[in-house]
Amino acid sequence: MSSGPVRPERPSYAPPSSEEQAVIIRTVDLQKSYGMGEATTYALRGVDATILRGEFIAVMGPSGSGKSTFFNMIGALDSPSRGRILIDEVDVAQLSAVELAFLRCQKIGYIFQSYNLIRYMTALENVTVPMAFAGVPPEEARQRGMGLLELVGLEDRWSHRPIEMSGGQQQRVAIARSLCNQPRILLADEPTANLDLKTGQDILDILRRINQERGVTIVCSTHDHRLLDVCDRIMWIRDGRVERVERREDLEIAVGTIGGEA
Amino acid sequence: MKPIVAQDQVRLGPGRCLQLALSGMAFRMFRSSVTISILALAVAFLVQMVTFGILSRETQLSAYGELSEQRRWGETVNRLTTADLRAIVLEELHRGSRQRLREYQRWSGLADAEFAAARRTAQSLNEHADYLQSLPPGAHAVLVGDLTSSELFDRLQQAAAFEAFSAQVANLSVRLPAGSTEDFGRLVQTDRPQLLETVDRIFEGHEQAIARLREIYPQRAPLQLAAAPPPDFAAALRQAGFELQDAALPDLGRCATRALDLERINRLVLNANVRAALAREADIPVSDVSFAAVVGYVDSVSRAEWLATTLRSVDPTLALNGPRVLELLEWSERERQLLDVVGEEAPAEHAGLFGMSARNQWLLLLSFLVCVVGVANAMLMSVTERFTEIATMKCLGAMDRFVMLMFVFEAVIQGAAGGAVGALLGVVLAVIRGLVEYGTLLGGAGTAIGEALVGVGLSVLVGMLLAAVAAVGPAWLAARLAPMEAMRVD
Repeated sequence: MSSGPVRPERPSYAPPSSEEQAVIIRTVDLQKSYGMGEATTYALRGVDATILRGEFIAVMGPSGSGKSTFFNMIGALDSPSRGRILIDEVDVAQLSAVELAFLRCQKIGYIFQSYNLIRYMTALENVTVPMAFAGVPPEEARQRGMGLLELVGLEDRWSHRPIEMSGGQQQRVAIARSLCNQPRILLADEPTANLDLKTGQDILDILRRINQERGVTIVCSTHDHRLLDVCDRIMWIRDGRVERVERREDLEIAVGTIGGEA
Repeated sequence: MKPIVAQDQVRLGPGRCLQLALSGMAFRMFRSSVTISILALAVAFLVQMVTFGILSRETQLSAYGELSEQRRWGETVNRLTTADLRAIVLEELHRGSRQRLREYQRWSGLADAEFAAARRTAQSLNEHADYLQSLPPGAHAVLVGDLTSSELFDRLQQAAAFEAFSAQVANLSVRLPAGSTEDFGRLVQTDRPQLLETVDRIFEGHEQAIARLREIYPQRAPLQLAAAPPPDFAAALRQAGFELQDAALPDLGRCATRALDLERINRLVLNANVRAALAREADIPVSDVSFAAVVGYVDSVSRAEWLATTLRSVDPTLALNGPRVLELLEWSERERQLLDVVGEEAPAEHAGLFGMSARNQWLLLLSFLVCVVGVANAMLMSVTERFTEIATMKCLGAMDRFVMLMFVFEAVIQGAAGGAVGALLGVVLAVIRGLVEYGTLLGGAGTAIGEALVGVGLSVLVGMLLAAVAAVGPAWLAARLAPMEAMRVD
């Protein structure tokens, strides 16, 4: 286990120029395979991706394309078979378990498709858990937690348990939780998948606000075309490789609404 | 914007971990109580076996003790009429009481030194007999065959047989307790015949003592003498050649009287008139009337009075009243129950772990293994149910050790709760089982309480350890593997 800060690495190719937006996540020839010999499955077959600081990027692709594997990689939840992941030019593979825990706690926020709230805790307690892991004193954690719940519009439900809340409310609590240690990166795994249209829209609004007001990089995986509308870039993944990366300006997306929705 | 610099994560203390574990358990009360029940049953089983083993042993020991007293006095009276068999003399020379040995020395006419030598010979022979009989089967077949120890020693007195024997001993590399075969030869061929002569003299001396006693008290049987000892009875005994302390006379008298009275009752119950009366009174067929039936029927003072009157009508000399008859019958019944409890042999003082036989120890081990599997299963289920929760915790910054500690805490608390409940249950079950099996004879000295507490404490500890160990494995694995599971992007 290494002690002290890890020295940032110089990438082997051209360093970012001052005109470009800084890169916050970079993957180099990322490969992941499961199994051995003839039964090997290749989830990722060499992904070279860059994610820029402060952008809102959507990752799309059919099921089985390696999207979730890619997400696990850049979220420091899994390790690749080959290749490297550099978060702020720091090779994730070189980090010890403790450093990884720090990364997950304070630098990256996670939003899951199934909310993943802790069932026996109230909303406020759920939001303050990561702050406890970060060593924030309980009183300050509570205050920050309430502030975050206000941000997502749930300050009057702070004492409710997940079982007493709707899906949208739970997702909002999850978003508040993911923000509590002021992360640089938010990883959202199909945040609107289990929600109805109206609630999904609320969630998207919150995410966009976070991205614009706080400069948090958001990486979203989604099938929802309304999300494409709010993002900056879209990365298409197919068969374990990046098929193409498009900018929002270059796309024509028309999103309609259904009238009479509550 | 500052770049990300990884630094060490804050480590949370166990107190916080415990807090989380407790709140988690409170929420999952039903699930926790299932696990606690499994643990409680496991611990209850262990505790029941241990406690019952102790209870059983203590009951048997105290029953044996009670019977021993009676047997001892019975034996004393018997010896006033019948001389000890030679085999018994040998046994007693080897490890008899001081009183018995004093008698033997008197009858043998040997001085202290010679008598001590005879005792040593007896002990040595006994040691060899034990050793030879416990040889491994191959050596045993060659050296001993199917002879008893005394038959073997008889054979070995002949030179030729002994030569062959020592040759075999050398062949098989058997080490005799005596050391060398020469020493053993001396023991068998010189010392043993002397010893047997001594035994003969003791036997004759005993018979002479009995004869002398009969001369002193020509018309009375020793049992009656013991029951109603004449003055100077103890002195007379000593004169005849027996050793009996004055202080022992009252106890002897009590036991002898009891034996005599019971004998009379037994005899009178066989009388036809008595049987008819009993059959009428107890409303049973005459053929069913026996001593056992009488014991069963006479359960109160009034019935005992009736029986006493009936018996006296046949034998007016019977000087027993109701209460005494009742006492005798109750004692007889108790003796029978004690014999049931004790069985044929004397219970060993410290029979195995917590008073359990080898078979029961084996059973305990097996059941323990089953419990381990059961608890491990419960813990595994508990962990896998919460896989997503663990993954989430790790995403929020928990470290492997923290997650594992949370589960271990939960397991230990459940183990303690289950252990406490189980211990209580186990003790109750053991007592119930003891009452069923031994009835009112159940009991033992309070000295066993300490051992029982140790046994119960150990079992509870085992329960807690079991739970903790069973939880660690799955929890550790889950903590290491989980994070990926949280992200299930379609």
